[in-house]
This record gives sequence, structure tokens and C-alpha cells, in this order.
Amino acid sequence: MKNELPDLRMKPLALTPGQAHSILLQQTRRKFLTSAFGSLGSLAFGLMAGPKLLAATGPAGAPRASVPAPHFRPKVKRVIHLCMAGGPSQFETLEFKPVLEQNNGKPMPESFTKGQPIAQLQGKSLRVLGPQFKFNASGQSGLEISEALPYIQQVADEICIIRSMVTEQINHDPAHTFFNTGSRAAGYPSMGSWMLYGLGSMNDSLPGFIVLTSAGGGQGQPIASRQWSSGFLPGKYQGVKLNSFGEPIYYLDSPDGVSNECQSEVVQAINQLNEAHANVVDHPDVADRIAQYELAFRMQTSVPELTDFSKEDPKTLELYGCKPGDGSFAGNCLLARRLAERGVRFIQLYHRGWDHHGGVKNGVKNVARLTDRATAALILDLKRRGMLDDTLIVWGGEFGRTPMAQGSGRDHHIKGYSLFLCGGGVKSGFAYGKTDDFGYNAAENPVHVRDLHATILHLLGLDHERLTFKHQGLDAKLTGVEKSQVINDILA
Amino acid sequence: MPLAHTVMCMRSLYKWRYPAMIMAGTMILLQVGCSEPPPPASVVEEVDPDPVDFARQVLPVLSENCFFCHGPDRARVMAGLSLHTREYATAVLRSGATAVVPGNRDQSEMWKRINDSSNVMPPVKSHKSLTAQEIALLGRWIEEGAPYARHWAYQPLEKVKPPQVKNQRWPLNDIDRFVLKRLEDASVSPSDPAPRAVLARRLYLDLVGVPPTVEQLEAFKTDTSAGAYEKLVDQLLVDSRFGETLAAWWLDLVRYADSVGYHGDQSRPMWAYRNWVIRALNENMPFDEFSAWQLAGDLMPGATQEQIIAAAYNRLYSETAEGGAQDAEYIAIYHDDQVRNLSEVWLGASMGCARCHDHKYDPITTRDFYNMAAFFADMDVPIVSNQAVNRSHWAPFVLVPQDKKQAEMIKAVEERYRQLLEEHPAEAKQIEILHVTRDRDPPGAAKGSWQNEFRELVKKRIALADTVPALPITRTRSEPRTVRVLPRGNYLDESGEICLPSVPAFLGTLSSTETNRLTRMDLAKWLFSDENPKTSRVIVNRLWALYFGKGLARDQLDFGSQGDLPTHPWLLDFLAGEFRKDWDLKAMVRRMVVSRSYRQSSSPRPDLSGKDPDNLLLARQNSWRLSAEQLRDQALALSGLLKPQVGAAAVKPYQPAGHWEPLNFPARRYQASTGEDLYRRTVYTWVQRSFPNPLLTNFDAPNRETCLAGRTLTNTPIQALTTLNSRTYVEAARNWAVALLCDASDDDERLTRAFLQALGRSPADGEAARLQALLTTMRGIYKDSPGDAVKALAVGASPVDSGVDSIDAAAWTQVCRVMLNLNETLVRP
Repeated sequence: MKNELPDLRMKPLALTPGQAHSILLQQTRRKFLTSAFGSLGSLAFGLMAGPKLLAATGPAGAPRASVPAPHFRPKVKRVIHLCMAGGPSQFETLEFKPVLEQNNGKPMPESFTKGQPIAQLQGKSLRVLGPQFKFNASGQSGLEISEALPYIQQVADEICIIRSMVTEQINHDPAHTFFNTGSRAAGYPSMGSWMLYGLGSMNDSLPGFIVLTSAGGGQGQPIASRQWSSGFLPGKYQGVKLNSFGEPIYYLDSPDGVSNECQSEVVQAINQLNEAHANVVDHPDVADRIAQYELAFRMQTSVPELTDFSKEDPKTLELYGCKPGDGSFAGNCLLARRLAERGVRFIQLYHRGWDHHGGVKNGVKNVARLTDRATAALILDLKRRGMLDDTLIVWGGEFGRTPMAQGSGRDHHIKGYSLFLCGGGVKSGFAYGKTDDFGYNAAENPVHVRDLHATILHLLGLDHERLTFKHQGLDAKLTGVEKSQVINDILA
Repeated sequence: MPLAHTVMCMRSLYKWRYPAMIMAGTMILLQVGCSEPPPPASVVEEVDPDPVDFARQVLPVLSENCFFCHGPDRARVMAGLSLHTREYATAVLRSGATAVVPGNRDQSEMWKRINDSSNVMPPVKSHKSLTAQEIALLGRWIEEGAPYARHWAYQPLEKVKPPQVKNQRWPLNDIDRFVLKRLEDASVSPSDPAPRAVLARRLYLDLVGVPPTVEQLEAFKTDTSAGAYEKLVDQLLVDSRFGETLAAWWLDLVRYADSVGYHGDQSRPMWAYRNWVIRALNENMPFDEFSAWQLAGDLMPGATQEQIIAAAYNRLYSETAEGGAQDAEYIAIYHDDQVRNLSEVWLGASMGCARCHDHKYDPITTRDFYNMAAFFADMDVPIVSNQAVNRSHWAPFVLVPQDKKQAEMIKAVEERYRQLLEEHPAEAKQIEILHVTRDRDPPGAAKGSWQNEFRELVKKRIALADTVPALPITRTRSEPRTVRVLPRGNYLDESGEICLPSVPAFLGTLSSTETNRLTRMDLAKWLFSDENPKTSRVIVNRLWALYFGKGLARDQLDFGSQGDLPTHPWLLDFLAGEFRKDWDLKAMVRRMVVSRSYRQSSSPRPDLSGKDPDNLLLARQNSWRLSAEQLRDQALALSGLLKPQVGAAAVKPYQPAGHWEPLNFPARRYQASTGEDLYRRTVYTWVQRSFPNPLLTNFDAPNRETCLAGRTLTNTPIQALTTLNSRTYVEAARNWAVALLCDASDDDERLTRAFLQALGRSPADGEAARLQALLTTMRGIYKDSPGDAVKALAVGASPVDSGVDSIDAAAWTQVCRVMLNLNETLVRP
């Protein structure tokens, strides 16, 4: 089968209806092929994931909260979170607000802002800032998407925009922590850790939760490793950062002067001596240690193979718009696809350039240049490989931005903002929720971050009420103690 | 219900100690002060006490299944029913029903509902369910009059006498009597003592954090005199490495770090405080004093520099300098951090959740939370953007000279500075803080003569802080900040009641009055008063975990209703009672490690694999993987690279390039230390909260953002990669290899020496043969590619010994890498 790739270099109409059709056709064929095995496959997946989780133990090793494996049939196997760190402006990306255009430069009605949490605009005069880009009705679905995102416009029919997101934290660091862990305070597990804890890994030579941060483009937003910490869950569930430069995983490469052969001899000797000793002391931990050393040695081969793009079709590189090893967001999107193929459960990409307090127009334009095309490419690439059906992509930031101007930019905003989901189990070409005319408050179908968490877990076959771990006396959950619900209206 | 029974139940309400004491309807066992504890129910074979034991049997069932909706969080209880107190449980509900009718099961709504399959409690959607035994138990409890008792951890500490045991010869001290009693009751025999070499290695690793040298090992093995073991214990307890080792435990608890944590995670070096901790532990400062200095050293009359340094504990919360962050919000966040830590470290209870709602399981209210927060409202600390970017001194700070020269440098400035600060406390503090944070005067600041002089002194101190370490300190405001209950944690809501410093009502009676506002000092005193039995239990339990692998109560952080019951409740209380006599940490550690229980072999007991797989009975010692710190220290010690210096500055061992790349405001590049500072003990490592060194976090070291009691130990491939490939371990291997080549004359002797150094034993024949074979292979490989040998020997900053044959040294380096990665090397025996 010939893989016709859309040429995404020409914009914005590079993807003609004909091309889109051919991709969809390809996808259907593939889907047909895989579904012959698919049912078996997903059944096996459901069964296999179970037993591994299981002996969930608390900090002291005593049997604690029970963690049943997928509570019901999963829609997706994995999640790719495109974390647009800094807080993308919804008004320049996913939400068109004509009222802001009409009121550009006028005072923001005080009824919205009085007594509300405000970040850098505290005590300043509050004036409306109109949208800085045109919006187009995109795709068959006609979703309104900013022309700053010409490639995402082309995949409009694949995505599900939520325009009524609500979060609780107005500063970057706590807001990121909240988005990732459901808690402002440090010490809680990130969602990737919860997924790994709940479902186990699907790959025995790669970590199940991998984090990528992209290089280039003046990304200023600091990110702490807390964002992929396993918190109070055991450390084996924490995210592993895969580096764009140097060793992909810390300490992966054999030391200088140690050939592969030499390393293999060393690891063999360690394991044989451990095995011999295990026979003497009969200690179960030794067997586990031996397994970890074998895995470590396998990773020394599997990880470099993973990050080696040389066997990728040049057309694929072109689709994403990346060069091998450039560490760009585009390169990371391609890497994400390769990780997805290898069964990594949760893949998180950080692009840290979205904090546009000033110059939101040029700012968004610049970040879009670095992220827009590759995001669309990832969606299309997964789709033509038949993988979009069992993958969930989440694109969005820790919060949105104010309808009010901060000079030529916008301040942080938490009462209503937008992000999009894409992939298995979620409606496509669909928009959910609304803010009021001024885009201040989520006015219709508000979606709290906790609801999003519940929904993501649901798609993975996990009931957020039952995925628990005993911590400080509480059956701790990703969704915490407050009420949260699966957003049924967006489920396909 | 007979009167006698009712009386007994009431009595148990007030006098309850351990319920088994009130067995068989008699009260004669309750002779407080000299009671012989009756045998606790075995964990292996649960005896069913008669009557039902509320705290031990009923409370856990209620807590686990009912309290989430029918517990202490009164704002959210369902149907108006709370089951955490007898008063609420037996009250007539809105519906007219009564949940618990003492003595009458069938009239109790609770009994009906837990048996009503059509409308069952707990409801299906709670994902909780009661077993038939639990239902029967609740029924019996109601029939027996539904007595309530306090949770075990809140019971007053009373004197416990060690039990009688059959085998009088086994116990060496009181600990052993408690342990053996449990074993005898369960008909399980204790394990033999570990071999002397294993004991030595265990003791060295536990107390001083590194294995014994071959000479130290030999000295102990050949000392057959009575009391040789105790002599070694005493020797190690006065070794200055003891404080360095125990400090890691304390620093995890108090979340010690050298950076602020939030957003830009700017540098905030706190190591002068860390060194004080090491010093205080080495000097065996009584634990009550050790705690009081940290909580309130600055409030002590004529506070010394040492006391002020200790009180820097209060500054260890995570701080932000993020643009747009609002003071009101972060005051609440910092208070939250402080109250969480205080309650977790000293009370073994997490009060954190009470910030937004009453605790779900324990009687901690939001009011309690804010009352506790009010203890910290006296601190004179800027909230947001405390520090000018690119500087690492946070106001207010004290200069901590490290030598005579530095002391001289600051002397002239400090005296006058302190004098002016005392003379004009309010205005001077304001001038100082704005200068440290913003390089400017407060608006409208007078330009009088003292102000000018003070401003110059402040500028001089800021300049000095580039050379002399500046430690953030705790200083009091003239007027404490107002603390209010924040409804649902909302800092924008100022409608809540004003709170004054008070301890949680369920724990004690200490509270402020209109005229007498309590201070952190009062709090510190109260923690160690007779009214608070928790601190002693909590700390003793954690010390136990250090030397036995797990706490007597498994959850070292949470002693609440949801926490596990202790495996040896009397032992825990006995030790807690002993500890509080003089708060002598070293004596408590000594008591634990000289016991025969401690000295048992840790070899698995196949005979108990079914009966007691988790070793709850302590029929053997436990073994566990060494901590991140111990692993690195051990590798450095074996290689001879370790450069001891008690009380070193914060140092930066190797760290992978680019690890700090995601940091910003300002951007930072990690510069590893040079010279001897590369080889300090790991406790001196710089702790960057947002990106701690992966060499340590890969082995479960925390990021020090929250209180951690007892690290969870994991076993991952990333760990294997770390000890196999990281520069630290490879450099150690090559230095160790060269030392072996120089110190011993042939391969056999070298192998034996390596085994003795790392494991305290000689290699078995098979092991020696396997490593000889490896050596031969490696010599072959490096002979074929001598360039690789040179490269292998160039790893790390330490000089390459030109006196040794590079092929030999490279081959031996690989053997040493194997040695550093053996399970036995990685594990505390």
C-alpha cells in the first residue's frame, strides 16, 4: 500500500478535501485490517493489564488500597498530552469572541471582574482586548479556529474543543501542578503516574510514562520535575524525562571505554553472581533485581533505536517539519508517535512558550509556527497508522488568558478557557461548552480540570472513584475529594 | 443490659487503655502504673476479644467505611449523621431514626441499613462494603452498649511494664521482652543472631552510613571480650558521621532544600541550618530542645546565633517569586505548608486537608488548622518576590561566618546593625527588607542620620552576603498578621472568623486569650508536655523504622483513624514513655540497636512465609536497599575518594548536563564542584527542589517539597543504569580498582579484599572463579583495544594513576563495577 502523505508545507489549504479523503480512506482500510485482530487484541489488553497492577502496596509494603485493573472496557490505550505551558490565549486560538472585537479598548464590565482572583493586572485599569486573529469555520464541522493555527484548522474534523475549561490556580507553577496532579500542593502523583499505577506498562523495555520538553523558540516557562512526579505513589510510577540532547535517558550510555561486549559481560557477571547468591539467601528481592538489570541492559539498545529517526520516511519528517535530533516540538511529536507505537502509556510533551503578557499577537504567531504543524501532523500520522482510535491526545495549557488587555497582551485567566481533545472515544469535529459573551466565565457546561481527569481515566477504562491509593488515611484519587464527573456529552 | 456492663463501658470511655485489658468483664487488670500488659491479639491469629474492642476493631471499620460521609467533616455529613462520637451516633436524626441505640441492635438504624440489601450501607457507589464478620462485629458492639474510646495514638501515655517471657535467656533488654512475648504467643522462635561480620556491616551502615573498613571489621571480629558489640555501638554513636547519617532522616521530615521550590525555584541556600542539625544530633541535644530551637529559637531570651540558625526551620516552606502572585494567596499557601509540616513532623497527623474542610476521618477542624497557622503569623517575612533575581539571599537573613576571617569581616558591620535594629525595630526592618528585595528605600523613608547609617550597613551586609553565607531567618513582626478561617480555603473571602494561636481542640487545651497571645515557644513547650502523647510515639516509631526497616505502626506519617494499628502497641508505648523521660535520642537509638531483636539475622524464614510473610512479628531482622545517600557514600568510601568534612558547605556532585535546562528566572547552568568538594558525603549535596540530582532521586530520595517519613523503596531499571553507568559510580570503580592493584599483590588477594571491603566476607569459590573469568575476558578485551582502557580510566575528575598498567586497571575497573552492583552491596543486611 502506497502511503500518500499530505504535503503540509504549503499553507493553509495544503490539505485539500481530496487529500483529507485519501487519508481517511487509508485509515478505514487499516482499521478494517486491524479490527480483524483488534477485538482479540483489545481483549487481551484488558486481561493482561490486570494482574500486573495489583499487589498494590502502601508505603510500608503492607497490602493497601485495592486497585482493580481497567474497571471497564477501555476506549484508548494511551494518552499523549501536548502541554502548552504558559497558558495559550483561547481568544487567539480556539475561541472566537466577536463581543471582544466590538468592545476592543473599552473598559471591561466590572460585574465580571469584581472580587475575582487576578494576577498581574491586580489594581490596574481593565480594558477589553479584541481577538488578534481572524477565525475561520474549519472543516466539514465548521469549528471556529484561529488562522494562527492553519494546520490545526485542517484537522478540525478530528478534534473536540472544550471552550468551558475551569481551573483553580492562577499562577503558573501551582496551575501546572493542579492540571497534572489535581492538587495545588506538592506531593501528589501526576496523572501519568496514576495511569501507570492503574493499568501497568505495555512495554517491558521502556518506561511507561515519558516526558519530552522541546528546545528552541525562547521558551521561558520554567517547569519542575514535580510535574511528572509520582508523589506518594511508589517511585516506579514517576515519569522519565527523555532528553533531546545528550543521553536520551540519564545514565543510559555505557561508560567511556566500555564497549557493548564489555558491558554485556559486566551485566551478565552481576546477574550470575546475584543468582548464585539468591540461592544461598533465598531472597525474593534478588530475582527482581536481576530482572531490572536485564531490563536496563535492554534499554541500552531499545532507547537509542527509539530516538533514531534515520529509518523514518523523509516524507514523514517533512509532514512534521522536523530534522532528526533537533529537539524541537515537531521532533518530539514524531518521537511521541514512536513511543506510542512502542506501547508507552502516557507521553507528555512540554512546549513552554505560551505566556503572552505582552505582544500576544506576535507571541501566538511565533509559538504557533513551532507547534501548529507538528500537532496536526501527529494527528494525521497516528490516524493513517490506525492508532488514533486507541490514543487520546490532549492539547492545552494550565490556564487561559484574560479577555482584558495587559498592554498588548493578556494576563492569566482561570474562569473559562479552551483546550482540545482528539482521538479514541471522543467526538470529533465537535465543540463543547461556552463562556459568556465576554469570554470571562464558563457559562455553559463548565468543565473543571477534575472533570477532565475523570474523563481521561474513563477513556482508559478506569473509574476515577475507584482508582485509589491509601495516603494519609484517605483513599486518595486523582480527582481528589471534591465532586467530579465524566463529561459524557463529549464521548463518542 | 446489666448495670455492671454499662459502668464498664463508661469506664472504658474514660480510662480505656488497651481494650484487651478489660477482658472478660473484669476490671482488675486496669491497674494503671504497674499493669502487666495482657497479650495483644496476634496478627497472625486474630483472637476475638470479648467484649468488642472499640478502638482496635470497631473504629477502623467505621473509619474505613463510614466516616467519609458520616465522619468529623460536619459540613458535609449525609443525613446529619456522624459516627465518630457517641454523642452524634446516638442522637435522634432528622428522619426520627437513631443510628445507634446502645444495647439494642434491632432498633438501631445503622444495624438495619448495613443489613438492608435493597438500600445497603455503605452504598454501592461508595465502592465500600462490609464483610459478614464486620457486620456481626458492629452488631455485637451495639449490643454491648456501643462504648466509644479514643484512638490509640491519642491515649495518654501510661507506664507499661515489660512482659514476662518464657525464655528468660533470650532478652537482652526490655525491647526483647516485648518482641519475644509476641513470638512466644504465636509459637514462633526468633532468628539466630546475624554473623559478626554482617552485624558490623549493618551497624556501620545504620549508624554512620558507610560500611566498616577491613581493619575495623577485623578489629570487631577478633574482639571476643564481653560487651565488644556494645563497645562498637558506643564508639559509632560518638562518631561525627552519626549526625551526618541521622540528619538525612530529619532533613526529609522538615523538607530541607537549598532552593525555594515554586516557579523559578531560585536559590535559597539553607545549609547553615543543615549543619546545625548535624551538629545538634552529634552533640545529642535532647529532642525537646532540638525541636524547640527549630520552632522558636529566635524567641528565646537573648537568642544566640545558634538558636537563630536553628529557627531557620520556619523558613523551609516553598516560596514563590512568580510575577503576578498575590501576597494574600501566598500567605495562605505558606501557612498551609507550615501547618502541614508541623503536624506531620511532630504530631503524626496531617492537618493539611483541614485547610478547606474539616478532616474526613479525624476530629481536626478547619478552625484547628487556622488556629495552628496563627502560631506562624508573627513571622516578619516578605511574601512574594522576596528576593531580587540573581541574588540568593532572602530577607531577613543572618550572616553565618565559616571561619575567623569571615567572622572578622562581618564583626564591625553586625554590631552596629543589630544595635540600630533594636533601637528602631519597625522602620529599620522595613528599610532592610526593601533594600534586600528591591535595592530601594520604602516610600517616604526619612533621610535622618540613623536611617542613612542603617541603609549603608544594610548595603554592606548585602555585599558581604556574596562571600559570607547568608541564611534566611525567622524574626517577629511588631503586630502579627491577622489569620482568618478561609471558607473552603478561598483567600479572597475575608468573612471568616479571626483565629488566635491554639492547639487543636481534640489534642489539648492550650489556647490564646484576648490578653495572652500564645507564641511558637508555647507551642514547642506544649508539644513536649504531658498533654500531648503523640510526639513521643511518632518519633520513637520513626526511629524504630530506621533500625528495623518498618515502623511498629506502619504508616509513619499518619497516626490517625485511618493509620495502621501498631504491631507491638505496648512496645511502642513503652519506648515512647522512656523517650519522654529525657528525650535522649542517642540513648533511644542505642537501646534499639543493642537489643537482641536488632541483632537477629535478616535471612528469610521459609517456615514463616505463610504465617508471617511481612515479618510483622519480628522473628528476624529486615533487610532493605540502601538509601541514595548511603549508596553514593559507600561507593566513595570503597574507592577511597570520600573526603570527609563535618559541616561542609552545600556541594554539587556530578549531575547530567542539561538537567537544569527547564529552570528559568534566572536561567541556570549546573556547575559541579571541584576538588575535594566533589567527594563530600552526600548529605551535603545542594538540594534544588524542582530538579534535584537524579543520582539521588533515582534511588527514591525526595525533592523535599513535603514532609517525608520513611522513603518508599523501589527497584527500577533506571537504578541499575545509575549504578552501572553514572560517572560517580564508574569513577569510584576505577579508583577502587587502582587501590586494589596497589594494596594487594595478586588477583586472589585483591578479590578477597574487595569482598571484605564491600560485603564483609570472602568470596565463595564459585564467586571468585566467576570474577576471575571476567577478569580474563576483560584483560583480553582491553589488550585488543588499549585505547578503550585509557578512556575507561579517564572517567571522572580524579587524577589517573600513571603508575599502574592501564589494561590491568581497566579490567579491574569492570570487576569493581560488578562489585558495586551486586545485590548484596546495594542492600543493608
